[in-house]
Amino acid sequence: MIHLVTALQCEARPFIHYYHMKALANHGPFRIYESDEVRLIVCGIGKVAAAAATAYLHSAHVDEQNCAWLNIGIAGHAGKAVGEGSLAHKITDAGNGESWYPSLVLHAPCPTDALITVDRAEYDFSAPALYDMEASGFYATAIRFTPSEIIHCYKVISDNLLQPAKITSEHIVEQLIGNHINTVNEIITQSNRLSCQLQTIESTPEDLDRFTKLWRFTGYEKNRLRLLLKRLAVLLPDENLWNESLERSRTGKEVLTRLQQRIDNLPVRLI
Amino acid sequence: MIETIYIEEEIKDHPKTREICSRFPQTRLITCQYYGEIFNRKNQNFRMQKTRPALILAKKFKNFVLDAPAGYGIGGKRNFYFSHMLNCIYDCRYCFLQGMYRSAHYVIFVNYEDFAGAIVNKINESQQCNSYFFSGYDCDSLALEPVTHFADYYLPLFRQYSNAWVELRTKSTQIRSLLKIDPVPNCVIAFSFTPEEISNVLEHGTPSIDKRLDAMVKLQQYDWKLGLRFDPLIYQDNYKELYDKLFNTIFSKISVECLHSVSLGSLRFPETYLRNIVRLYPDEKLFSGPLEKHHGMFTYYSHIEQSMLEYCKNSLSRYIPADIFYSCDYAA
Repeated sequence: MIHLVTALQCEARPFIHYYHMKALANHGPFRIYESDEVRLIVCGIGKVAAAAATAYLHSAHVDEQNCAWLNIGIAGHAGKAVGEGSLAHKITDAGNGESWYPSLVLHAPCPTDALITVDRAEYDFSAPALYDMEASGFYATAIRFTPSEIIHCYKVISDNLLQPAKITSEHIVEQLIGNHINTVNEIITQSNRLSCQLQTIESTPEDLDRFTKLWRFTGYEKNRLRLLLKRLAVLLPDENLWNESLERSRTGKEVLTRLQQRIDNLPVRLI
Repeated sequence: MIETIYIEEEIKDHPKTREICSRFPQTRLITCQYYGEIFNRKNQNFRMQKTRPALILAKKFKNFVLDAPAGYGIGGKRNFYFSHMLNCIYDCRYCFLQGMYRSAHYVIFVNYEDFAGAIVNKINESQQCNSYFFSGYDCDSLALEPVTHFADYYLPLFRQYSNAWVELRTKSTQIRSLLKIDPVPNCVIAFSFTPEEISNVLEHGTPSIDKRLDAMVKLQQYDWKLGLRFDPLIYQDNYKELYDKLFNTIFSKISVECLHSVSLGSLRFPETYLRNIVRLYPDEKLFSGPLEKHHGMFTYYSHIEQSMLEYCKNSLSRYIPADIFYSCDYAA
């Protein structure tokens, strides 16, 4: 699953259409749209709104670990042509100077640029960077619960020194963003692949629930059980753990001892 | 292939920075204030980054030369290590770096001149006693030599000080720069080995045992002092057969006269590092094996560790004199 965050409804529209997303009926303070693999929240303008929406969407799906995140929207730049798209490789909050560096593990299907998040619309573009109003709030929040490899910001130039933001209409924004559907889709596909990899790596052993239903374990023992089951899954990937001797165990402690013995009796072979 | 280079603002015009960047004309350059903004940040995934690592060029400000851990050495009393680079281009599953660092990016500290000053100070602190400097603790000393020119810079320095030794520890075959110069009498080029079958499953991206041996043979022909490092020893049921085969292969090609030292050490991880590594690689058989906490470290069960060390030590004694053998004892 990937979570998209856009500031404006007109930035969201091309994706709602492309991914056949449906609006959630009880969406609360933000408009949220969803399909099988993509979820989108419209946050409103500014980094505080972006941070709030990101946190809101995460807490609404807190059981879904390692979802990828992508902030998409328009940005300004001194010299880049209107309509060009860029993935952010550095995000700086102009307010406090803090910077974040999205880890570029995915193969960027487009140019990458530095991105500066400002509190008010920028017209001077003094640094050679993209300017937006949401990315730092979005990124600083998403990085609290997701690895940096699957959090990204993609921006499309809507204004520059020659074509200032004041003359950009909603319709033009929708068109500018819509022209980048293929690139964004490529980023989404790659991010989803990485997100799946992380979920597989961090998955809970299959049998854990069955064990905890049958026997009582303290918090410490449960953690040990999880580790033992993971080790057994690596050492005996195709074998059924359940046998008479294990099922005869009277306590959780006894289960742990039997599982440990099972591991200790296995031949040690890496090859 | 390096696609991204992060550069600290302060050293963006340093000659070493320019030299390194010139090797990667197509690479994305990103400036930062301090390398820790990238390298030390929470919520990075080492395993994922390892698939596409970036280069970080930084300046080191302090702790250029550090005391080597207890038990780490090749016969000297004053043992130090220094790290011009953090992380390694290889991906050895037993490497403690993957549990120590949050990031898999390669950090290169470009201010070699400051390291050199600190090394000279350490040497001068004790004129009577030899000082030993280890460079392959936080990285492979030679693997990135075409980019870093580490040996090019530091070996002429050590050549000037007969009371100092330097060990370059490596699994690489990047010896071209060494073959261009006269051997440095107080430098040991130490190659690390595990048996081929184990190397194939645990040492991802490293040159084969044969290629490493070819590099050693060339250095031997040029009279460089060589070292052999079997650290960590990796256990599996038929380890005796595997290590016997490895020793036999090595000593059929490497002359004992060229060997400065041979050392071995057991597999060992500080608890927190192992926890981090297992979280990254829960599917790795190595960490599902017979490991237990021992002297504050996770190592093989005591009886396994002792018999392996003993067996390998005895096997090696058939090839080498006792006075060049060293055991890296973590409990020292």
